[in-house]
Amino acid sequence: MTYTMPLHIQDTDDDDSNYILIAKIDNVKNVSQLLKAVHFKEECLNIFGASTVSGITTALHLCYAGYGSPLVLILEEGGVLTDCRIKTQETEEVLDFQFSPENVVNKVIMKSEILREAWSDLDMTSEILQIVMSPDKPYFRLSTFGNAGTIHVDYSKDSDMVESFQCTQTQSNRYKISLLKPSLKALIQSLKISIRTDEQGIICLQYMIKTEDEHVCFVEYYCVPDEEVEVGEYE
Amino acid sequence: MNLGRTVNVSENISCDQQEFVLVVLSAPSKMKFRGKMVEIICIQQFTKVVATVAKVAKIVALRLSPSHLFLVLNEQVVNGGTSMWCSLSQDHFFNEYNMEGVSAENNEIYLELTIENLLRALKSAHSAKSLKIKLTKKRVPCLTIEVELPSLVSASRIVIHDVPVAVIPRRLWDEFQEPEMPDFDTVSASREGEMTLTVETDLVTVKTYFKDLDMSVEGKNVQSQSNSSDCLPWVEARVDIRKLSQFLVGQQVNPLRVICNIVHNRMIHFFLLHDDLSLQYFLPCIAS
Amino acid sequence: MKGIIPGNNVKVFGRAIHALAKIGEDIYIESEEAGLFLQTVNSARSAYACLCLSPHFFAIYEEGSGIKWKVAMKSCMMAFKSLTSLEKNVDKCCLELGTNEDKLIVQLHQKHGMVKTFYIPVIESETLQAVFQKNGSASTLTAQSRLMSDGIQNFQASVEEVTLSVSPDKVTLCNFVDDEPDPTKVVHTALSLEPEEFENYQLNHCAEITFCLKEFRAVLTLSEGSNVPVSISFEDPGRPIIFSVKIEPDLEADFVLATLADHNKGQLSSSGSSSPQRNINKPTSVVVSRPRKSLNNKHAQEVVSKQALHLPLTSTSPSMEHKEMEEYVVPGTPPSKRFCSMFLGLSQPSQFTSMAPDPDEVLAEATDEEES
Repeated sequence: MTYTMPLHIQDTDDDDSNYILIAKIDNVKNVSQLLKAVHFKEECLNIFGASTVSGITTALHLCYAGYGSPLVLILEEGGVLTDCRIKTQETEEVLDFQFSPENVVNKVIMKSEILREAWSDLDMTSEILQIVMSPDKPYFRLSTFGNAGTIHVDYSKDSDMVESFQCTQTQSNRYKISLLKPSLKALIQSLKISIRTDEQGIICLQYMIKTEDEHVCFVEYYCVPDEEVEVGEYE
Repeated sequence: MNLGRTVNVSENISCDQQEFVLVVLSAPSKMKFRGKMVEIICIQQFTKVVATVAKVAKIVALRLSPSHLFLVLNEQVVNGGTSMWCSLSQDHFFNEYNMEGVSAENNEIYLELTIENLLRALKSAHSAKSLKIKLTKKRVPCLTIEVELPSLVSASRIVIHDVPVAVIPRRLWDEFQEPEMPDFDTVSASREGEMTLTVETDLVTVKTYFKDLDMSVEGKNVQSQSNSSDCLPWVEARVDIRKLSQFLVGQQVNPLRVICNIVHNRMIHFFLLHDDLSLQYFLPCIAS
Repeated sequence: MKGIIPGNNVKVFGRAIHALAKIGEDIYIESEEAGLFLQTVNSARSAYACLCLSPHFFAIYEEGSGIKWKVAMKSCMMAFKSLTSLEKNVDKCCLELGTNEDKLIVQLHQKHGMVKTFYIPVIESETLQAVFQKNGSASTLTAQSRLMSDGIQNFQASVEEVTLSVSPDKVTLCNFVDDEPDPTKVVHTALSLEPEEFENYQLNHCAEITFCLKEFRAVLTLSEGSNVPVSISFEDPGRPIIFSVKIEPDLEADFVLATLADHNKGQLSSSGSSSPQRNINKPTSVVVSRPRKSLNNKHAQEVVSKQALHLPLTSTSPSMEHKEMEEYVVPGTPPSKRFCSMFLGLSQPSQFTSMAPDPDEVLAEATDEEES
């Protein structure tokens, strides 16, 4: 049996005109780090390599020829070329939370490391994560109501880990914990987190991530509250 | 004569059955084995080899000869039919090595054991002063691993692990011979030394291209094969990716050379070479 | 009840919780003038632990005048989950029984102005009374934690029981292998130690004691972290083995594990029928539970007699009074562990038949499926 050699995709310059998106980067880790921060569904390609050998970087060439074509990722590492073609799917509408900075009621900026442990230890037997932000005590509180009992984690506004604390009114909002917990992936990668809520209780979590080549990128999470709780109703 | 004593009730079983049937016998008293390792590097490397084998096999045959130890796996076809052959030169590992086989003409010992048991016993030797391995008879035949550990108070502390084994009767020894290299279809494949690994699922196709690999053809000079043909046939084999990854991921041996042989649509053969040990792994193709 | 644990003791407290968690599923807490007592027992009633924290363990200690209550181990473990975090981040830990006595409040004050508060529900409680006696005629060995952990690390994680064999010149630890399972499958491991390796070696007689390894690891969880020695006290096979840990000056703990009564293994094997012979090898449980009415209804409380049965840590308890022992509460579902039918011994084996609860009701099958 005879097979024709597969086309090598090294010289794509003349083919570039076929693509509507071309992106190249020398070190794919800058991209994979960000992808990990937003990856909370299972069907993601996990091929960016755990190359721990220093000095060897994997280069990425990404292209897309338009509707119906697969997303093409070409990775090159130490002379070995990997060509991935991922079938594209119909996009769902991107949700617009209509969260605008003018409507922000409360805002806290803190270093991510102080939130990491609490976020990863959240009692997942609780359906709800309650977030209280207030100019008065407890200032910033995360609460769960699971099988182990009620748990509160309080952060003081005077903490050295809190960079900015601008709360105008006491708000207590409850969110589905299953929606917020996956943001842990972004939290782990990030240096700082900004937490803002608007009048409706919609929460915006903004993570500042520094990639390997010192670029600063932002990942944003939005979530609507499950229900509004009367002030003072918490434990 | 030991051969006479190994006659047992399963005389009717023919050797070309794909299952190998093991009959537990008491070890003929003539068989002896005693080996001692005193260098920690040797102990650790031996442990790594066993760990590598443990990643791809559950029950293996251990074959002891005066010069070598062999770990052999012959999997049943229903389980995928992979096989593995690992050969270790004993003088590289052992300072002392004494054995007496089943008989003078067949001066070898064939044992069957659960490799995980051996591995766990070896793991307790990661900082040992010495390691002894002996064939013993406790309630059942055992490979006794005697680990000498450093101790604060006394000279040393001894930990003994009795790993149960089954003696493989002489009758079945043919199943555990060194595999012959099948004829590989590398004849006119890719002079340029290229290999492509392809994985395909519903959503994704991934191909990895390797270039500049050394090509060698058994007994043939590559140069003499040079034709002017541009269109060179490729050799293909489809294998179970889990088994392949188990094998690749389980590597702890850091071989000096890795040779991969492909028999078109039949199997892949990996050959890992190191100073004093070699490991061969055969992965049969699966149907498309 | 209120107690404030200063920073350096918080990790010790955390380790104590982790150790108890390796044994039971609930913690019985008692607050007294003498200190705070934490007890737990496993579901088979074959392992028991008791920890006593003196008032000086705390920066502030306000005793709860004999209040006893029970909380779920899982809830406590949520608060003390990460030992490294407790050590690095926690400045102090406050314990308080809520005003309605229906919640235990655990508050961790951490660095950087962070405070974690856990409201742990109090389960309607039973009290736990243990009776065991550190007999003068028992053999006692004392070993550094390191020696013990070095020894048991040679055993595979799947090993359930070990046998400790002691003689004047040698100590051997080996995994306990029954006749039942296929001997061609089980690795037998044995390790020898010299009496010189022990800090104290007072042997009254040679013995072979078999106990549960998994539960023994609970002892090391507590002792290894503070690098303190472990005292081992035992008598004949069948009598409980007691491991004692002291973290000076304020913490004392005893772990009492049942031991296999008879090394004539056939007796406890899977012969199936409940022969009366089996019972002879099983002394009664000494760990009983006493149902208790709702804590809130103080008037209806049954008063627990303190004198006879309170946990003795430093003194021995009288044994004969046990004839009046309260009704025995059968544990829920008998687990299929090997030791489910082992009980902690009374001082007099002959007491057994008169005090034995109905064997059919209490004893789970000694014949468990091979778990390998």
